Amino acid sequence: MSAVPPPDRAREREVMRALAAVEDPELPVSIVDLGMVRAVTVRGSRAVVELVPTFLACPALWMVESEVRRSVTALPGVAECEVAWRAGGWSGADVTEAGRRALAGAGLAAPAAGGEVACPFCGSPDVRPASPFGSAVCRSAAYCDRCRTPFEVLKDKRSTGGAAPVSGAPDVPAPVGPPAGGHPAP
Amino acid sequence: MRPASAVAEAADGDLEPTLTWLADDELLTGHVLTSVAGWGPELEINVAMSSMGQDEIGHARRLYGLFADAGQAERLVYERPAAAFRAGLLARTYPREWELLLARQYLFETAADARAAVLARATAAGVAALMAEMAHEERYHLDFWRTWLATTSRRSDAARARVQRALDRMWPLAAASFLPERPGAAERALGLPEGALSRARREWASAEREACQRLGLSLCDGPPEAGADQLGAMLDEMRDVYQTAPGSW
Ligand SMILES: [Zn+2]
Repeated sequence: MSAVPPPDRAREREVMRALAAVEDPELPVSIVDLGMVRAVTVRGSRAVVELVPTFLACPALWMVESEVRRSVTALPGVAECEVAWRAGGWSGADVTEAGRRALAGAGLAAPAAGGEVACPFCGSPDVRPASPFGSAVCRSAAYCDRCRTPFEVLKDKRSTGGAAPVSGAPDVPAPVGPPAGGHPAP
Repeated sequence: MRPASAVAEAADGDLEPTLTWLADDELLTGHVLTSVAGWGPELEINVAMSSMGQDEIGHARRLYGLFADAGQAERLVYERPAAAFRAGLLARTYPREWELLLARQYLFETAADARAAVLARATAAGVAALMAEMAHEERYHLDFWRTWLATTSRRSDAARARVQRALDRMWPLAAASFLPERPGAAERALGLPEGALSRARREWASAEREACQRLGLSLCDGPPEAGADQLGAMLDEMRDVYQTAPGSW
């Protein structure tokens, strides 16, 4: 059996750059800024991209997976891309600074690491939750008492008191897209 | 004595039925919630039911996905005969009024949460991680129904009496639905300690009895009511569009 090639750090950076162009179809941010990418490993011509699901029922996950595969294997020198879904309790707090700015432009807030939420329109911390359920499974509804505007917040699954995220946690099964042959466009 | 491999095979043989049971529960509940979104008294409640329904259907897909590919999962949902569904009796009810829906969902979510805590320790491939991830998401559902059970039953004596009548009908169904058909075989297939599911059921029942008592409500044991199983009607509704052109969706 041949030895496993060492990780190719330069190519891993290229893969990360390619992933930074993959957007969640329902949000105006890349999956990197959204905090969905947990690890990238490239050995030889084979890349492994580890992702965490925002919410299991998110209808965009399988599209994200196929877009990741397409854009990573389009890179020179990468012949194969495995997408591994990890359990880990994604949180809106995983969103990057750039991601927060992009989301705010669309009227969406991401909670800070401590769970604090600021209004995406006026920046005020004087906000209150309206409902844990918003217009998509990953969003909750909130209201700004300063500018009197309703807005949505990306949920923080980890704050629900479930199991703490485990590093190297086992896979959650891959999202199921439409069966081969596909659905006709609605 | 049977050889060890035959014993292992027998244990594995119950994995698919057990996962199907869990998935069917989520699927039917997801169908009920997405169908009734629209008749809640407030927009927020309707959005919540639609969101929870999507979660449940998503969870069902992931559970089917542990043993079936996308095409097989699609056929399990749209073409499987009703007799092959494994969902518990509670998940087969299709409540048409708020208090019945409230009682059904409250008992369904508390049972699912209690079961998930056990199943998150399963050693069967993929089960523990999925259950842990699902439990994170279902916590929002649990909070929602817990809040509404308390709010509704504290509003007035008349409201509490309506909730009590709904619990009288739903509790026997919930009590009959907590465990799979063959709990011991399911525990072996999932890689759980013997008796783990039955223990969780006892703890859940006594915790819920106390929780309801604090609200001036009670959970009375009794036989499940006749006609509670509305799976046939539910499937007809769920498959209505698909059946206009089977196989082409
Ligand atoms: Zn504001």
